[in-house]
Amino acid sequence: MKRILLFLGLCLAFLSLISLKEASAQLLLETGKIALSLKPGETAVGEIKINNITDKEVAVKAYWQDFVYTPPFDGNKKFFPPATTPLSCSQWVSFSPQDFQLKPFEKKTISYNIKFPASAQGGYYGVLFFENHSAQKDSKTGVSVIARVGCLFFLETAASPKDAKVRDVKAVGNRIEGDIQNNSQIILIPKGIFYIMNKEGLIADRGELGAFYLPPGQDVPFFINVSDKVSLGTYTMVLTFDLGDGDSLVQEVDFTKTERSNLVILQVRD
Amino acid sequence: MRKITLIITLLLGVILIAAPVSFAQVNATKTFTVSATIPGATGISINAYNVTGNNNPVLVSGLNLSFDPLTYDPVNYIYMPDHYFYIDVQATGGPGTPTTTLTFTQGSNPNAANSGNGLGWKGALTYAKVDSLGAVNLLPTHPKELFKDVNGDVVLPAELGAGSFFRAYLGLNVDSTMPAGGEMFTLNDAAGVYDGTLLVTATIP
Repeated sequence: MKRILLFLGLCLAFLSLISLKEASAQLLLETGKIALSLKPGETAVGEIKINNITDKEVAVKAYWQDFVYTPPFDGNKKFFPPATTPLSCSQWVSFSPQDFQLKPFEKKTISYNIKFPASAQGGYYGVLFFENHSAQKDSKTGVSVIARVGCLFFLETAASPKDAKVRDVKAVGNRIEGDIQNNSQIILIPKGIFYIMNKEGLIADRGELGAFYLPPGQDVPFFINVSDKVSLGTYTMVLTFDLGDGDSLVQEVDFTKTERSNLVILQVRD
Repeated sequence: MRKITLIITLLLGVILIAAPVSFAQVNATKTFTVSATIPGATGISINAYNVTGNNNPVLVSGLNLSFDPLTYDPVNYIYMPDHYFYIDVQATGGPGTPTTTLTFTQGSNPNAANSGNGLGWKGALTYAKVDSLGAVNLLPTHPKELFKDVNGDVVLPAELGAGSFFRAYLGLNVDSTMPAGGEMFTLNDAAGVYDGTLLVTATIP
């Protein structure tokens, strides 16, 4: 009898270990970004799914905040209370449910409704956060983690033009630098690539710039180091910023690499 | 009659055999574009793990990361936990890396009555990345910080590189590797519960 009880106890312990190890993410948001192109006055509805993949019930709070990309526009963003930033869309967005329980391994669908006003023009932005509420302080020395995952909303009027310009291209030492300016009414996310071509049309070097997250009216500097792969001589650098959805901004820079690796710009063309 | 039937059957046979060949000839120059698109990340997850001694990490089912029990080390005159934690922030549903923002807020501090410091000075957060093979490397752009100095710190996908994800290690200070200004729990600290809150925010870029 003792052996049977011991065996059952061991089985239970083993099963509890398995269930602990099989527990996975605490909150898993299935959609991280919603980008909608809307006509002024249009209403849009949709759904976001959030999962509790643990074996414990989780209380979740959904709430809206504004966000703004901040310098140096490398993706860094700050979050603000709703309706406190110039491009906020919080007043047009409703969602349900806002407070709910997620049972173990349950998936929940959150519905959102966007009433894009007739006066809308350009881009409007915000984030819908889902915060785990289960972090009850347990009277022990330690850290309570508040984990929140956000779904970014990019709401833009249909056919919003993407207008960007490369300015102030100059050579400084062995690098070419300039600014890219967003002259449109929406956030642009330009991703730059370049190649350097010699007079014979052969590629001497190529590379890419990281993505910039550029709000309307903002500009950001970019730098391209011309490597040692490029020997002395005259070249053309073709710089292309992919603006998304097939739009791009191309700039050609003719330059000469002189002795001591200094660059001299000859011409900049669109 | 038999001859006619035989001829018709033969003709049909010839047509049936020849037809696929002629169709194949018509389609012989058709070209196909072969492509495959890997969908990008669509979602995000945040997981906390407990590491005790040399045991395998265990997922923390709640979000309270308690360092208890603290035991007194009479050799070094400090209180020590037997474990630490780490938090992984990962994209789901495809390749990609979230942007993570971290902010610590100090809570209960029994030392406050003596103008002493709380958990913000007693523990530290280490920024690391985990590559696709599981190798862990510290982030050079984010040196180890006392909890109190974790204030709106942002870890960008560009700092992690493709295929890697962000990991934050949380531990109490137990030796001289702690950041400047850090403190360890000693007999000089008031008895009681020291705590704080770490807000971990994850969004895709």
